[in-house]
Amino acid sequence: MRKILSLILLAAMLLTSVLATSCGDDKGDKTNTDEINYDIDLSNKPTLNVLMPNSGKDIAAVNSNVNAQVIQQITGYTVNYTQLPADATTTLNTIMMDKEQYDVMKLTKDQFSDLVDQDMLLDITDALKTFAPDMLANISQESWDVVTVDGRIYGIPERASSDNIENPIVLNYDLMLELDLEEPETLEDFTNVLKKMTEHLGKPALTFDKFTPLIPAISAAFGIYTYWQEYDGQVLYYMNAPRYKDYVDYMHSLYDAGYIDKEVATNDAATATNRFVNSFDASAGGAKAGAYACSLWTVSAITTGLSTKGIDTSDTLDNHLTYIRSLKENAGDTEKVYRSSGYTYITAIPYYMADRAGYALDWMNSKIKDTDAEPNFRTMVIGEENVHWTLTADGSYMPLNPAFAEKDDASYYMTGSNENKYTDYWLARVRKQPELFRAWSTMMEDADSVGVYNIVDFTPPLKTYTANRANIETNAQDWFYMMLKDGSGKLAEYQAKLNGQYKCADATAEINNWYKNK
Amino acid sequence: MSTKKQKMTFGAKVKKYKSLIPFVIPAMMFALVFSYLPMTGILIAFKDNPNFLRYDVLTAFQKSEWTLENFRILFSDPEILSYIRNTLIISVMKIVILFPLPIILAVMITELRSKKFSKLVQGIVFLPHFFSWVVIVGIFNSIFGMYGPINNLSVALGGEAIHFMGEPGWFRWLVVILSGWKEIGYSSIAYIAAIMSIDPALYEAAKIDGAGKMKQIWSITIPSIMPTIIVMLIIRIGYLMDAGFEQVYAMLNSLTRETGEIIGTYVYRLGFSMGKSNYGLSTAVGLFNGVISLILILSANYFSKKKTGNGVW
Repeated sequence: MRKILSLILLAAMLLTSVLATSCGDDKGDKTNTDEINYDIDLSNKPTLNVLMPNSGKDIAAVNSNVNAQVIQQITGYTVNYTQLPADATTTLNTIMMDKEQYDVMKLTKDQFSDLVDQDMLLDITDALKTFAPDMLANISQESWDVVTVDGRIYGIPERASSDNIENPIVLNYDLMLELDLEEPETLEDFTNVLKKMTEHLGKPALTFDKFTPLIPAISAAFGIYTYWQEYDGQVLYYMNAPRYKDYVDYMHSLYDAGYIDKEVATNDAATATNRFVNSFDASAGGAKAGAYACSLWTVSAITTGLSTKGIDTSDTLDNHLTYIRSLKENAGDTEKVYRSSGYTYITAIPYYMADRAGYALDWMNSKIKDTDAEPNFRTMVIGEENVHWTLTADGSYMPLNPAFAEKDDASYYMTGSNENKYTDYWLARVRKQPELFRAWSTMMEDADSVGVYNIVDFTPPLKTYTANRANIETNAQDWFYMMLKDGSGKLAEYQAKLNGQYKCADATAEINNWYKNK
Repeated sequence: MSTKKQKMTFGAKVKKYKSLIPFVIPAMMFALVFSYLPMTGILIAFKDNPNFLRYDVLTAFQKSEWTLENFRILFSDPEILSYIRNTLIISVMKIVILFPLPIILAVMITELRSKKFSKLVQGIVFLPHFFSWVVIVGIFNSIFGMYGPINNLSVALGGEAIHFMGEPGWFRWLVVILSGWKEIGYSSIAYIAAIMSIDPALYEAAKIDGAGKMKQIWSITIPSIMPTIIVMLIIRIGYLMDAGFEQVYAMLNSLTRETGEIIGTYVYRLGFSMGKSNYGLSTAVGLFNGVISLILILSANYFSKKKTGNGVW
C-alpha cells in the first residue's frame, strides 16, 4: 500500500516538473520577419490585439467602454485591448521577449526610445504611403521627425492636445483685495505681495510641491523659461543657464525671509493645494499659503477645495483667484514664458507582427481620418453634434453636459492625433469647467509670441540623453531644494557633478548636435 | 546530535530512508526551478548589455561581450559606495536598537496578570504592522510636520520648529524609530509563542526556591527562549544589506538623499531611469549584496554554534 502511494506521488511530481519546465519555450512557430505584407484584403478585417498603457481601470471596463465601441463602429475592426500594469517596464520586456502577438502598442516616449534602440519596432516608412494617407496628411513633419531614426519612421507620434502655457502662480485674490495689493508684474512687486501676505497670514505665503525645481513664472525673469533652451546659439540645461545662480539666489532670499513654505521639499501636490485652499479659511489651523506655483490643471482641484470653503464654484472665480503667467526683472522687459508641448504617447508595431501590419495601419488611419463625409476623428474625440456638443456662433465647440462626460476617456483610445483639428476639439473639454477655461484663456493670451518651447520635447530618440535624463533631473531637483535652504554657495560643485558624473555635458552635446543639424 | 550516531554511507542512507524521498522531491524541484535556475542570470553582470528582446537568451549572450565594467563602476563610484555605507549604518542601527525591543515586549506581555488586558495590548501593538509605509509617513507628517501640533507646541514654548523629514541628520534616526514603532509588536509574536511553551513547572519550582519575578525572567524565561533569539538574530543578520526599501522610499526626499539613499532605492532609481541598459549594473549590485549576506549569515551561524551550541543548521 505504502509503495503504491509513493509511486503515485512520484508520478505526480514528475508530471508537474515536466509542465513547469516546458511552459517557457513556445516561440518556435511564430513569424520572425520584418517583411510587411502588402498583399492583403483590407475588407476582410481581422480582430486586432492592442496593448495599451495602464488605465487605472480593469481591462473589462477598458474593452466595454463606450469610446471603444464607437471606434469599432467607425473603423469596422474588432479590437481586443490589453493594458500594461502601472509599473510597466518588466512586463513590456517580457512581452517583447515572448513575442506576444500585439498588432499595435501604445508606448511612452521613453519606452519607444528603448525599443527602437533594441531593434524591436517595425520600420513603417513605406507602408504609411500605402495604408495611411490620412495620417501623412494630418500629422506634421515636426512630429514625424520625433519618431524617425536614421531616416526611417518607427512609430506614430501623438502630439499633445494643445501647446499650453500651463505653469501659473495662482494668487488668493480675496486676500489681495483685503490687503490692497496690486497684481505683481516685477520680482520686486512679487516679493512685496509675499511679504504682506506672510505678515497677514502669520505663515509663509508661497507654496509648491517637491517636484518643482524650476518655477517658470519666476525663472522667466532671469531668462530661464524651461529645462532645455537656446542661450546664444547653444542649447543648455537650466542648471547650466547663465543666470541660474540669480534665480537660486532670489528664491533663497524669499526662503530666508520666511516667505516660502518650509516644507516644499517634502510637499506632495495634494498637501500644497490644501495649504493654498486653507488661505481662504480664516478659521483653518496649520499652514496656509496665499500664493501657489502649480500646474494649470491643479485649478480643478483648487476649485473643488474652494467649494468646501463655502465659495460658489459653479461659475468663474474672477473675484477669488488670479493667475500670474510670468514675472519680469524690470517693468519694461519683454515677456517670454514656457509653453509646453511634446508627445505623450507613440504608437508602434513590433517587428515580428509585420505580416499583419497593413491591417493595424489601416485601423489607425481610419481613426485619424476627418473629412466632412467621414469625421471619424471628431466622432471619436468629442462625439456627435447636438448630442455631445454644439457649435457656438464664433465656431467653437461647446460641450453638452451630461452626455459629453462619456468622452472623458476618449484620448486614452487615440493612436496618433489629427493635428489639424485636435486643439479645437480638445478645448471643448476645457470649456466644461468655467474657471479652468478662464485660467487657460488668461494664460494663453498671445501665446504664439510669448511662448518658448522645451527643445527636448521635439527630439527623436537620443541615446545618451534618454539614458541619463532621470539622473540629471533627479539630481538637479535635489540640489535646487538644498540650495533653496542653504543658498547657492555650492552651485559650482553641483554643476561640476551634473556635467561630469551625471553626464549632462554628454547629453548637452548630443542635443546640440541634433539641434544644429535638424 | 549526529556525532553520537554511527556514520552511514550515502548509499545506506538512501536505502534506509527511500520511502521518504518522494516527499523531498517537491521541495527540491521548487528550489531548483525558483532559486537555482534563476541564478544563471548572474551572468548578466559580466556581460555588456545583451539584447534579450530581439534575440533568444543564448544568442543574446553569445552576441554580447564579456566585461567587468559593471563591477568597476560598482566599486569605484563614490556615490554607490556612500549608498552602501548608508545601508549598513541604517541596518546596524536597526539591529542594535530594535532587535532587543520585541524580546522585552514579549516578556512584559506574558507577565501581565490579566489575560484580557494582555490580549488588548497585543492587539494594539500589532496594529501598525498592517499599515502601509505611505500611510505611516503621512500620519507622521501631519503630527510632526513644520506646521503640526508638535512643532507648534515647541514654538509656543520658545523652541524652534524642526523640519524632521527634511533634516539629513534626523533621517536615519527617524527610519529606526518609525520602523520600531511599526514592527515591534509583530516581531514579538515568535518570542511570545516561545515563552508560552516553557514548562510552568520550572516557574513553580523557582517560586518554591524563593526566586522573585526578575530572577525567574533572567534564569528561566531568557535561557528558555535563547534558541529562538539566536535563530531570529541570524536570520536578521542575513538581511543586513536590506535596510527596508519600502520605508526608505516613502520617506526619502531631495534634502535627505545624501544620508538616506540606500542600495535598494538606488537600484530602483537606476532600473527606472536607465531601463534595460543597466540590468548589468543592477545585477552586479544584487550579486554583491548576495555575497555579503551569505558571508554574514554563514559566519553568524558559525559563531553562534561555537558559543551557544544553537544554530539555524
